[in-house]
Amino acid sequence: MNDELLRRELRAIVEDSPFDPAIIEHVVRSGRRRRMLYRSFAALAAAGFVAALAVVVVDFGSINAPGGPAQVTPGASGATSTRGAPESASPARTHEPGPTGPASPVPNAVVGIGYAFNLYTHCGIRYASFDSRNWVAFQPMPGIPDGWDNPYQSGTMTLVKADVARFAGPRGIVFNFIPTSKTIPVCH
Amino acid sequence: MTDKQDDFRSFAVGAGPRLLRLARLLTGNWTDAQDLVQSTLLRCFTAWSRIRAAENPEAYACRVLIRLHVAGMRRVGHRREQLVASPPERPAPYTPFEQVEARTALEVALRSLPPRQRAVIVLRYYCDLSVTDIATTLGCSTGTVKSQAAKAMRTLRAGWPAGIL
Repeated sequence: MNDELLRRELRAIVEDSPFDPAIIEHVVRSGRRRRMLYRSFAALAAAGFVAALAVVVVDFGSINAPGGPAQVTPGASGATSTRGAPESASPARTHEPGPTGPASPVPNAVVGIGYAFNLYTHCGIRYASFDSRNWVAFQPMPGIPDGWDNPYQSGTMTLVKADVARFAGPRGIVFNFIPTSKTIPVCH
Repeated sequence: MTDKQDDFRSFAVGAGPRLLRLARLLTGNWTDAQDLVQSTLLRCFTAWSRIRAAENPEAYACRVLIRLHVAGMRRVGHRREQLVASPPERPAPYTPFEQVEARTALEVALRSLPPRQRAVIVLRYYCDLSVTDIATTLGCSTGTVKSQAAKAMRTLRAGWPAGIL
């Protein structure tokens, strides 16, 4: 193996290097253009990101804003106190309600979508406040179903039709509600 | 900004001819070599702030050039033939015929090598890099470099006139 010969021949092949210095100016010009393009893309992407973030923040704020009418509910000592919508909901796909308290309200529920919902059970299954409306149970129940929590039971509230809402709780127990124009009475 | 551009210009003026020679051995003709050098310099220009802080910007540029070449060959496939308007290579008039024949045979054999093997041969016998440096440049192991070099040398020996290599 004659390595030296190979080295010499390789060097001989490229003995004359026709390098044109004009190429450098072309590279500098193209590089400047490319850099400006990158910066424009970066600025555009940053603006898009900020806009998307703003939309998410505004959207999130509107979901968490106190909505729905205030409702009079009993306090622990039996005295009445005013609370912001004890029974409230949020889409089941995005929010799970707390096990004992109200969740985010849904001002405009969509038919067919199940929303996580905390039903007020302290005085039996009678009333609910959902979709910015008051509802009364189609078949009210004076007590609390076995295994359900007191004062709230978490489950899923679905607007089955425009005037029928269905609450599904644990153990497969379901209550249907219809709208009522009455104010929900105080729980004694 | 202007300082950086002037700095880049002086680097390109110095390193350009050497990069072009390297590119010529890798691509097999001056036209593709010039394109490759231009792409390499463009890459270097866009990252010049980082490259000029490096210990050896030219070595960095060589790495860019070789990787661009290998990646480019992967994309376009292994072009063995190229149509040109006039014969691109002419031997110098004083070169003896046997030498011209041997050199042409070497070029043909070199062109027939896959891009990575060709890069190994060029880096080993033209740039005089060690196996470790070649492995670093190509981003592979030293074992791969050795095996690629051995395969390439077998091909070159078969392509060159008997008894030369």
